[in-house]
Amino acid sequence: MSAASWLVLPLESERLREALWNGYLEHEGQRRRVIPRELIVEGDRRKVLLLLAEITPSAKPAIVRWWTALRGDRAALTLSSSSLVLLFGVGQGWELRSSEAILAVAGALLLHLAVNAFAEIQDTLRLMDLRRWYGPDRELSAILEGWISPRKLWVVGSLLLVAALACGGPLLWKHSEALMPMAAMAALAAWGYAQPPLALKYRGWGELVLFLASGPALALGLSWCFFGQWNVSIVSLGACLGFWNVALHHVGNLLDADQDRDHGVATLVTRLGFLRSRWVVPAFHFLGWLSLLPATVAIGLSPLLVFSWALLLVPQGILAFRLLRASGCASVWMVRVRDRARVVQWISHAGAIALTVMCLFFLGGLI
Amino acid sequence: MDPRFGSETVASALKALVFRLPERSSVPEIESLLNRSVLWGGKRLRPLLTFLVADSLGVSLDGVAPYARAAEYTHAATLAHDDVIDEAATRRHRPTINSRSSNSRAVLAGDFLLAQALRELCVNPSTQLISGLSQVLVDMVSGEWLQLEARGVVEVSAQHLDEVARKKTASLLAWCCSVGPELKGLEPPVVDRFRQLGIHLGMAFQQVDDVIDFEPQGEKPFAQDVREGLVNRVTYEMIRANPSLVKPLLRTIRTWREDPEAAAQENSWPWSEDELQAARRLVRLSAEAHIEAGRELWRGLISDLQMNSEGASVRAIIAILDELPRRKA
Repeated sequence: MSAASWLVLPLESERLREALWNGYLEHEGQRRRVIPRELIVEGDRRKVLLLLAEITPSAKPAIVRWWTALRGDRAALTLSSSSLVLLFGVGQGWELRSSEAILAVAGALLLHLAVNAFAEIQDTLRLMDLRRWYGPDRELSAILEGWISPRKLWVVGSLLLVAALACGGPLLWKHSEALMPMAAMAALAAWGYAQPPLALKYRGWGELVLFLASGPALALGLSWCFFGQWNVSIVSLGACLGFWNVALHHVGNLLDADQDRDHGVATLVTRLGFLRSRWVVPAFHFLGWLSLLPATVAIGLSPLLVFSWALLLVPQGILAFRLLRASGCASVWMVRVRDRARVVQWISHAGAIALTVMCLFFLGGLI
Repeated sequence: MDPRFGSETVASALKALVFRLPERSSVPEIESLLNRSVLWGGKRLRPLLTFLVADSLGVSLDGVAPYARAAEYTHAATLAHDDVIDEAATRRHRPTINSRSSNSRAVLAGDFLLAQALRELCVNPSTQLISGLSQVLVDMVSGEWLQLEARGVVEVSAQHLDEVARKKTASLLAWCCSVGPELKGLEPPVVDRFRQLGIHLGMAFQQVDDVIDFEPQGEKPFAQDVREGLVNRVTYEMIRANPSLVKPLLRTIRTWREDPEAAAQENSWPWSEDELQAARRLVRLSAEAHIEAGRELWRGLISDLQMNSEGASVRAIIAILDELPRRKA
């Protein structure tokens, strides 16, 4: 830190773009790490103050760095979602197609990681993380830590996308009629969620895309690949997972409310305002649970299962209690709330799996 | 002459600026109380900055004086209110209004000063500046509100601390920087650049203040914020570097709240000297970022508005920026 120095570059300059993209620049004959620190607004002219730091090898093991960069914890939730789809299908006595199931899960997981990588890059290039330079709440991105440059991350993201295509391609070829809408959704998420020109995440479509891609589309696609069929319980399950995922995403947006407003990013929070949009989190958690109800009527899904899932509203309620005390996104009640929301999400997924297994194997099945 | 005062004009305008209230209202005790407390002494940074920016633009300082006074009255009003919230007994080595009199009177005295600020704004009224100062008041109250939420809480975020500093400290300095440009009739985007300069100055000022809070021989008692149950930027950095400080720090805060005399006698702190120095270095670096951004903005304004870069007030602002990280009180 002692050898840090400062450099100001115009926002539109090629040198800035290159520096942000590479994560370093050559300055006074030395290669220095680049950390965007302040946006300087001069009327219609914008400049960026860069902190030039020494390039020091990271003490963190490579796996930790990449896990952070690719937001691995969130991608791992795709695995638990897949487990739930599997349990729901098995619970209905459907026959599992093992090889296709493995390909489908791998494809979904790789696609999720690729989307995360592209979102991370865009957040950096759009200077969305300037205020997080100090790493509040242990939220510093791997790029700003200097662990991984956007360029490297883009290469890895693209490779992950190719790998996802390699897994999903044969499935799509085989079941093109059934899987086409889901494949279209996946393609939209991969290329349009964060990346220009669509950049849906920044234009107010992020929540919808997330809901569809990580909810009903994922559940239906996986169900078809696993069992070659689907029904209303899978749609219900997908909707539930979708609502939970949007709730988690929404907590992040609540934290970034002021920053997003300043950057002109449209989210549910910037549209509803902070105070009203705090209620979205408990509402979506509740809607998630509620969306299981149609399946109890339509196919006679066990009420025991549905009502045991209501237990999951307890940790979700505790999170909501904290959120509803916050007066604004800089309130102390928002400290580490993102971490807490992730823990609640993990509890919800693990709890849902445990309760479903209990109903399936010990209490006489799902139906 | 001290180069921070810029030209003779600014120095004499600042000298001519009387903050002492005339004790002529129907309850002169209020003015007397204010004259002996929050209006006594102080760095007068806000009026100075208001004058320096205006003088750099060639705006007549006579028209600026009421605004400079309004800035200081607003600042003093917030001090009166802050002392109530913080239950402070002394300020600038003098008893606070709440300790001399009562909390209720301190709140009323603060309101009285806000009314004085309003009166000053009417001397040479500018809708933009009146609206700007109203927004500053909104910001200051919101900042205090956020800080109040965090009292006694150790787990805070940098985002929270930045927001409190932006609202409580930087917003008024930003307004001071906008007075000259508004009176000169500059375009709103240009005025906004001056405001940004004030924001960066304010943020740097607050962060250096947080560093000074841990100065053993400072004007205020060592770690005053911790004594008041507040985590500042330096404490935040220490916790970030060593999360195991959370519990002992909470205990320290509780002791200071429940039994300040025993805490003062014990005079022990949960962090090590190395942890403190490392955190102070980080916060100074952060303040430097704001100072650099401020310098860049000022350089851009000098060149775009063709200000005389050798002018005393122009250089005085650079001197303030240069000196800010080194200030001791």
